[in-house]
Amino acid sequence: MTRAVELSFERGTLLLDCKDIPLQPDDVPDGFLPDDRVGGKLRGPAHLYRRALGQLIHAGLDVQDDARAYQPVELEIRRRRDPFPHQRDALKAWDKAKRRGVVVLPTGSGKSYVAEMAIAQVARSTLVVVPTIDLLNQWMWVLGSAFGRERVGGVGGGLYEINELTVTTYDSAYIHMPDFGDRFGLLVFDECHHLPGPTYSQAALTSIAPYRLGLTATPERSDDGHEAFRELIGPTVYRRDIDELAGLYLAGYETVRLKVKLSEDEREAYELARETYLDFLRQHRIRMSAADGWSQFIRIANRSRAGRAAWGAWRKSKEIALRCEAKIELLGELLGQHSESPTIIFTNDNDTVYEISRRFLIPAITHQTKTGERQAILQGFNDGTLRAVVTSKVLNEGVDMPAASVGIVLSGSGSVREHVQRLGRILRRQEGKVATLYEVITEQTSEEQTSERRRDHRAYD
Amino acid sequence: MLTTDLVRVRLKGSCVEPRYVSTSNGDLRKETRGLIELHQAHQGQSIGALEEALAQHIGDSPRFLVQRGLSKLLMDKATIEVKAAAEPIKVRESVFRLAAQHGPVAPGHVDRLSILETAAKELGITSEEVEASLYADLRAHEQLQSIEDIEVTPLLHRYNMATAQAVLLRANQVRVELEGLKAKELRFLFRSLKFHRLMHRVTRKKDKTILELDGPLSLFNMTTRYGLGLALFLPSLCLFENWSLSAQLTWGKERKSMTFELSSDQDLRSEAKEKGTWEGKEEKHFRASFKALKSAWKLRRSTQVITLSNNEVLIPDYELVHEDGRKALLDIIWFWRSKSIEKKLEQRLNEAPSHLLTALATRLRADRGQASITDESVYLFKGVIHPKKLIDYAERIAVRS
Repeated sequence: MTRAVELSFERGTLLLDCKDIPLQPDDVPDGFLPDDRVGGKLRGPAHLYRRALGQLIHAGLDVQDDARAYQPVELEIRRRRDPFPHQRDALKAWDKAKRRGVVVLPTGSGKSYVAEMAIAQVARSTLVVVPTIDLLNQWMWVLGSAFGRERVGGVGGGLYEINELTVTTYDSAYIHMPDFGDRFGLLVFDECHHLPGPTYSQAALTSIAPYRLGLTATPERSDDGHEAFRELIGPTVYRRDIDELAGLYLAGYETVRLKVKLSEDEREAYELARETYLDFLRQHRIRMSAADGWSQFIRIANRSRAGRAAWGAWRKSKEIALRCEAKIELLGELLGQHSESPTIIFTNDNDTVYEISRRFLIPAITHQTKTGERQAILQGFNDGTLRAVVTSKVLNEGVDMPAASVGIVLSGSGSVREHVQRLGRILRRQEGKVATLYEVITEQTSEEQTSERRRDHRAYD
Repeated sequence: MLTTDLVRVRLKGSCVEPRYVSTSNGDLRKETRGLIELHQAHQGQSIGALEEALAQHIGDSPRFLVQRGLSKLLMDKATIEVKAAAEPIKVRESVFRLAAQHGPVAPGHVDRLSILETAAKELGITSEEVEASLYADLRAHEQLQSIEDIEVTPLLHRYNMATAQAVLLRANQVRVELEGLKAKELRFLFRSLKFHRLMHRVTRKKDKTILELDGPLSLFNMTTRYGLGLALFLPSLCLFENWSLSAQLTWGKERKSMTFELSSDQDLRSEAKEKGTWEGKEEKHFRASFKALKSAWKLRRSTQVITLSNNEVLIPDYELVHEDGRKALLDIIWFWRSKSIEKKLEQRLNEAPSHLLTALATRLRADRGQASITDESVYLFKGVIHPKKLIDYAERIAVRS
């Protein structure tokens, strides 16, 4: 008698139909549970596909595998080039780890070429998961030039087209993976420090892909979520830091810090707002140095009129410091000084982005910019028809702007990762390029502290 | 639907209690009327202007969250348009390209106005229009065309429904107890569940039908992935009376485990239209003719839910009960397609209890196909069900319960 069981994929899970064969407890694959909603068939998480298949075959069962909907595909890189030693070593290490693991390389060191080589080697339909729509466009373009445009599709930002090589965002992957998690043999997680966490991690758990590659420059997450990489992607198989590669493969760079003063009116308004805010803190004995100081403030502030006024005052003081007129004037001077250098301007809030865009007639990219226009702006910037771009957080990660040689940070939050990636953007490898990063901050405001925290990273040593 | 930042709740222990509004509160009604009028007055104006007026109007009102929420619900059904002399994206392309060519716009370099004028010539509009069109497609610059014509009471009802739905977005599992529904109504609910891709477990307790609702992945970990489906299912449920719902929530940033209770007593008003209770004249005729026959068999409505594999259910319309205690279940299929009917019948023959009788209309099928299934539990009828024939079938398959 044959012992045939059926394995299938259902909305992010695996279903095991044992027909009338009694399965020994030891033969039940790891992580599978009986599901009474479908007549007691066994259900397991999709990411355990390869292990489950192995266990069933080992138990002497004849498995009819309906779960796997991906196929081998012929893939050859059209513009093959010699990899740098760190790219070659990274691929080798990943291959040795049974093609599951995370590669840590600095921004601009050619992470995507590592992925291209991995895709060619695995030769299965592949899904690349990225944090932003800009990166989605960029990866579609990169994969298109490497393997042929007709083989590339995208899901996200208004697109829904699945192909042998498909690019999607973490948001879309969370939503749609249960629908197409059976169709890819290799998953590439770009900027994979986004993956851990209860929501996005489901993108990894609901796919059957046996092969997984994570790419990041900054695996550190403040909540230690990177421990989860091991289960979701695999172990860290290769790592090089920015100072081990700078100069060799990346453009040299210098950072210049400029301070501006508030005008008298601004200073007065700033002090007034600051006082209102601090008064409220004192009255309610809220200490911002305490771990829960901030959430305590929000909670209490929401309860009363005085609280909402204090909240408004805090926002106003912040706004004055970030957007002060002197900064805008200084920006004009910097633009004049670097009139020949491709320049990226970063600022924190969208209002300032559009203000700068209108004032200096520079294209803006924010979350409101639609895909087609983003692409046109990035392309115009890289081919020289546009000189400068102003953007808020949306361009924070890994978007390729190799032409950029001047970065101006007008304001920013204190997250270390954000700043390194902003820096990395203008450090993309280009022959003989020396990049300059300006950081413009307002003197004697709370913004100065943010800047100190920001510089607390090896790249500045 | 309301977004998480707009939903108002009270936390009591581990319970999340939505703060519903009273539709008869005079002050609130006045404010709501004012809010609707404010939106109506801004038809033909920019979203930015509306938002500014809204901020003014709401001010420090203790009910600012309610007002924001009501505004969101009004805007959900509004039509919004871009107003510009030339397509903004083309204006930007031209302006930024020219600025890069002649620029930068900076002290000692190029004058901003001269760039705008050059662009104006290129685009065939004035430089003022260039300036105004540049970002006319930003949300704040878009124009509110029209809002829905709605009265205060229905809007407040919609607000309460949206509040409950917003809480359900955070649900990882929902349990519903139903009482006193007809087979058709139950079937409608199960259709709605299927439409929203939810999975169920069904149990019966006396006259109550108990449903546990979630999705495939819920077997492994609590996930709010199916919260949207559960929220969208709620208006279907609210069409009926005598139900209660209890939801397990993953709440807030700390992802705390909380619960949420709701029942038909809350009187949430559904704007859903259909409720599955429509009955054809053929069925009315069938009930009348069965009664007229005066046999030892009685026809009763049934609400039994039979769970089949693959998350399908079967809800027979009636039960046929004999004086001596024998019983058969009766399911009438009036409309069908040849493609799916054979599979459906086959599943029944394999999985449903043996005393289920299926009556299948051969005339009202939706296409020209034929059902080739013959079985002692399938009664094929042409348009009219003959009670006598039906009883012949019942005699053969009924069981003593």
